[in-house]
Amino acid sequence: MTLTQDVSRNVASGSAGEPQLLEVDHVGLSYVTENRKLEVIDDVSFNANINEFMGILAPSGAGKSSLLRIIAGLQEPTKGEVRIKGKRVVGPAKEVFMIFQNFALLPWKNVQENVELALMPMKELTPDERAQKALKAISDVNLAGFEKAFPGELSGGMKQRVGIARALALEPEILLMDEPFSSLDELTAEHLRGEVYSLLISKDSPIHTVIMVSHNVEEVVELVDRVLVLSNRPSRILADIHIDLPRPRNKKSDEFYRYTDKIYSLLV
Amino acid sequence: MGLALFMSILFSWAIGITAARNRTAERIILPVLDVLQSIPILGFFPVVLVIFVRLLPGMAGINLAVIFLIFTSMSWNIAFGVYESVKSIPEYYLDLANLERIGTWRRITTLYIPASWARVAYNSVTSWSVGLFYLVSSEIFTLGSQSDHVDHGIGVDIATFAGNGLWNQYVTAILVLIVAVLLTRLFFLSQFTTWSEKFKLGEESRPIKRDPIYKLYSWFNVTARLRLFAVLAKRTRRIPRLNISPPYRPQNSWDKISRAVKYVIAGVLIIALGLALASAIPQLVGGNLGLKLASAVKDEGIVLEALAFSFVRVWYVYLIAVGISLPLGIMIATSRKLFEIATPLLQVISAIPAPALLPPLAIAFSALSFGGELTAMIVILLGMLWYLLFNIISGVRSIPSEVMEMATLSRLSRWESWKHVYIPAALPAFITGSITAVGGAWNTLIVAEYFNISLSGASGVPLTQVSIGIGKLIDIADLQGNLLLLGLSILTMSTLVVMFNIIVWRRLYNRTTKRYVYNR
Repeated sequence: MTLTQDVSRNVASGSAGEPQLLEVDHVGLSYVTENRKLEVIDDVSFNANINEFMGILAPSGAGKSSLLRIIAGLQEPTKGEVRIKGKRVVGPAKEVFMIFQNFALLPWKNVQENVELALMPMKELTPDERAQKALKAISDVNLAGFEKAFPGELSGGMKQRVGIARALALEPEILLMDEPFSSLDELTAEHLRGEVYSLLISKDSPIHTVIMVSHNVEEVVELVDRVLVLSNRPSRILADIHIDLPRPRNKKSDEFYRYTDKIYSLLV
Repeated sequence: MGLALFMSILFSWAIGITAARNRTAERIILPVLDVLQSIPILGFFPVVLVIFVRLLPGMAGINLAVIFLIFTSMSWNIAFGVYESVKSIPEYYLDLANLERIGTWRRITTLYIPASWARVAYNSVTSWSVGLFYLVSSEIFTLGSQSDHVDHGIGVDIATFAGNGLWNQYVTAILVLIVAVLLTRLFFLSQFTTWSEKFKLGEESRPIKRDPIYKLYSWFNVTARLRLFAVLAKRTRRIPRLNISPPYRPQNSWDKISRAVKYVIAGVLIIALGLALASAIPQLVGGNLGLKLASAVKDEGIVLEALAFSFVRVWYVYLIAVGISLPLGIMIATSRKLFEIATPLLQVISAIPAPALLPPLAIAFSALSFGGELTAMIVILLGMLWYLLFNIISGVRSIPSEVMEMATLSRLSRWESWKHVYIPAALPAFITGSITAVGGAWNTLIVAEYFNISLSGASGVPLTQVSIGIGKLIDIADLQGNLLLLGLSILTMSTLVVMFNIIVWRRLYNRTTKRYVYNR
């Protein structure tokens, strides 16, 4: 178990030559509402490594979703900046896509059309290639046979599979997941968690980095290679923990408990 | 007008609570309310006027008629609000009331009335604008018939100023009207709404902001949003109750045909009934029944012809309104800056009742040969535009933020996001908006077609007028005192409007809500 106490020092040093895929550099966020200032994110810095499944864990309302949106370029930080391949992020970045908490599917499009919609801006694809790509992703998430179903006819777990298929088809280098399992029932979530790692992180996957935001300690320890534990509002990094457990992870093992205990003690 | 609102609220409570708590009453009251609200009330005004003036000669009768008209224009909306909020009281409150053995009267005062306060308040805001529209219209209306008219009132002033070419006074009157609308919304209705927040049932009630300085500081925003919410709440909630009825069952074409036949039969019956009634009215006064019936059939022909023209008029103006409001609404809804600028602006503009603009338009276009048509078109257009615009804006803004983010991250082009995301998302609200807009258009149409003639009252020569139309027919019938023609016109028009609602709009709405609504 590696526990980096001084995180900012770690980030500042970074590797000098090749630009990092993703650098979050002293990002802060505050709102001015009515007559008082609300500090959401204090100061967060980290680098994401290639082929790493990263988790950001924080109590509810700590601004972790905002952090994710800042990384995606959907929201501007009030302090600091985010760099992708050395370039400062302004506006939605083309290397990034997201899997959403509530799936973000269009109810008037069927499964295949929903997946294809995200591919539409890729003008180099012919409609046929686009369909092939979508169908491949749909079958990868085990939804073959449901291509023509509408979201309203699917269960929550299946809807999230469509969300994952959409992300797979789009092949972003950085994939962000905003509490992807929290609107599913526990059994479905457990099942989907079991599949998600091998889907997203494989040798030939074009997805280099996955960042998942969550408030569920067990979920994070089960899935990620590395977790940033954030404090309550205003958020800063409490710990940066590497989880060195063999996969598939046994949730009943002592090592698993040691990690969860450690994280719980940080959060309390 | 305040009196009319007060009466509307009392009426709504009585009707709404009864409908919500009594199955049998519900089955009768809901369809009746539904038909009543889609009828162009304004068409009935001449009749109402005649009745009230006969009952109570002089000013009292006329004023009462105006109050009655406004009352009818405001009540349905509030009554539906009451019905829905009482109907949606969480079960455990009723369980509690049963356990505590609370009697009917106390149940009404302690549960039903507080539970419906919020909706009554919201819907009153909309009703107030609607009522104002009728106030101005009806006052302008009464000017037409020389004998009976209200002496004082903003509508009277507007018409007289314009009629006599007093443009300074006319503009002042319009400004006074706008300010009055905004002030009543701000100080009376928005207070009412804030105050009623206290009565919201359920867990997710939010803390109320009561700081008076804050309120003053953000008054414009608050009213703007309230207005939008009110429109949203009314339009989006008004229709779903229609879907409660039959359980889904696969339809074959035979079902469809038999249903269509049913509607046609119902339509024919209503028209026949109307004919009979219309001919019976003069019969009571005296005359030959057979002769009356014959002339009734002849008149019905005239009515249908006029109606056809008006029908076309309503629809081409509707197409223009859609052409303007769809792109504009989506643009406003998708840009935060534009939304913040446009909402208060739309507030002010939409506060002007369309009929108040008739006089200058009619005079400005009087030189043109198609001036009457143009005037009518503009006024009907203005009557429709706000309903469509507010609905489209609220429809697009109801898209979950995640979906918007998805569209942004997918890097959809502007056209792609309009085609695949915004337009489909706006569809249900757009159809609800269309129902209200076209419904409103029939009312405006009556004034628009009518006014062109009544303005000429003083000089004797019509300034501008449409060649033919149901509103014009109603006016002529009214001036000639031809009750038969008047009754026929109104009944036929109402039948058309109601049938169109049932056959076209409701179906379209049911179809779109099935797919085009976000539910997780």
